[in-house]
Amino acid sequence: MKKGSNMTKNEERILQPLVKTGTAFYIFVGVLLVLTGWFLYCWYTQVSEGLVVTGMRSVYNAPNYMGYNISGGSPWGIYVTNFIFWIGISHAGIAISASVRLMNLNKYKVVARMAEVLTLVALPMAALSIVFDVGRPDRLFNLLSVGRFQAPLLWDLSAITTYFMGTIIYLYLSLRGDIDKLASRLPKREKFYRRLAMHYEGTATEKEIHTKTLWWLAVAIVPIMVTVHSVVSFVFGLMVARASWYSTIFAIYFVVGAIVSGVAAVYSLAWILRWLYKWQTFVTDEVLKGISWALRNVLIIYIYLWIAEELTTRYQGPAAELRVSDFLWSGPYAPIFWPLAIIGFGIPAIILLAPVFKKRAFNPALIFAASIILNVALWVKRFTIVVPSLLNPPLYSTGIYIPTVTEVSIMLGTFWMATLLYLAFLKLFPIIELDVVEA
Amino acid sequence: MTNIKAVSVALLGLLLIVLGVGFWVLGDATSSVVTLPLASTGAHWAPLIWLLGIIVLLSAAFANTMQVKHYFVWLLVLVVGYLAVFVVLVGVTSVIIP
Repeated sequence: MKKGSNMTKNEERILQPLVKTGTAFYIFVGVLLVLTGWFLYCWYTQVSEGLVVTGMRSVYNAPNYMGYNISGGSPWGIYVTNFIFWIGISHAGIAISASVRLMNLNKYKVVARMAEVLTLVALPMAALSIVFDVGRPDRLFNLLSVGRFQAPLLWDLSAITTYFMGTIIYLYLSLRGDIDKLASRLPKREKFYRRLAMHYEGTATEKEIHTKTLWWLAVAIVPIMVTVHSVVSFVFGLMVARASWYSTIFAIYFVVGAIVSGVAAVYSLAWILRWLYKWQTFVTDEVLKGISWALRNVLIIYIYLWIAEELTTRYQGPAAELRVSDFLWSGPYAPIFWPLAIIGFGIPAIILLAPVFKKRAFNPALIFAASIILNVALWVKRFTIVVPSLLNPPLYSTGIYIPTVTEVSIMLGTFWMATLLYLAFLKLFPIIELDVVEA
Repeated sequence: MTNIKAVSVALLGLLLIVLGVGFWVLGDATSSVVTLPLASTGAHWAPLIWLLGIIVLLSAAFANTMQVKHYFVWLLVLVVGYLAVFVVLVGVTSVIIP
């Protein structure tokens, strides 16, 4: 940083990502761009050839596995799984930020923006996952022109639109003061920031109006957030003809699952950014401990709901539900189900619970590992909710769904694009509120 | 003054939502809640009206915090940006699909 800079020490540290770009960053972005290119090629292939290039095709006389026909029978696969996953991730952003504002949890304000940006990046990825899943994306306008009010898909579109627009507005308003500051702190980009600040002057009245408006937005956005994931669950939970989907518990099950994955993602991000930029004095152990505490509690609720659901089915479930359950417990997806339960949820639960019994057991790096495992596990969990029910309609099993390379590449594309978008934000705006650091 | 602006914008958004849903329901020729998937129901473009209503309603927060000129810029960005996503996706895939 140049001498005579008009930044305070703390501001200099927060603005590091904006002013310093190392070789590693370019290499990382280069790799992401190559991977995104591959994703675009795969999507092009899928759009031009049709969904036959995915594992969702129905191929008869395909090789057998454990007596099941490989390829066929599941009209929804990893794209819909990915959709639920990204909606879940998007949950935590505004949830954390709104909770911080509404409950005056000032200690956690340092991670509020990290979480808000996560929401902003995750929601388009969720919507894109649906675009990948439809066979004719060129008919997307039909949703706006002849969308059916009775269809949960249209509720989804409305809920996601509301959540996304709310997030943009919320993020901009919370960022506006910092944008105005950046105009004076980074003279080379002054024009850009001045224009974006839209004549914000930082007067006391302006600040007060912004604080009030943000508070009201936070009040509005929390129920919107719950609505979004409940509506996602209705896409499944209202379908009476699918065993194991038609359930009253689905909405809360989905919302809690979303909070687990979202909070885990925020913890992972906070830990990575703190490690990369040596922000231990901002993102303190206390902050990470608080997030891990929240993560532990929602994880326990999620595991409880999961056990309740399994017990209800296994005790005396209807034949069709039992068939879906057997498919997971001892059938072809058992190699996914048991590692998911033991490694995916069991081990993170132990890591997160350990500090309750022994305070010294709190290890931020270990909890980071647990949060990553949890996110992978929650992706797989959504897979085990979506696919087995489709493969086991009430009368007979149709086969096994195994995604193709093209499909996996397209699904992973959302991760590369999300990372690129997050990095772009990191290079343009402070990921920690400047006022918070000064306070 | 800012409150009046924000409330007016919010009411306009609410009106659009009610109009959109109202148009849809009035245009619905079916009688049951869950109908045949191919039945032609609801007024065309009604979903777009209520989606625009949602955007206008939420933009009340902007109306509360900036000058009218800047507020309209933001509203335009939100609406055009939203529709542009559909246009780009539909346009690109229409070209690719044989």
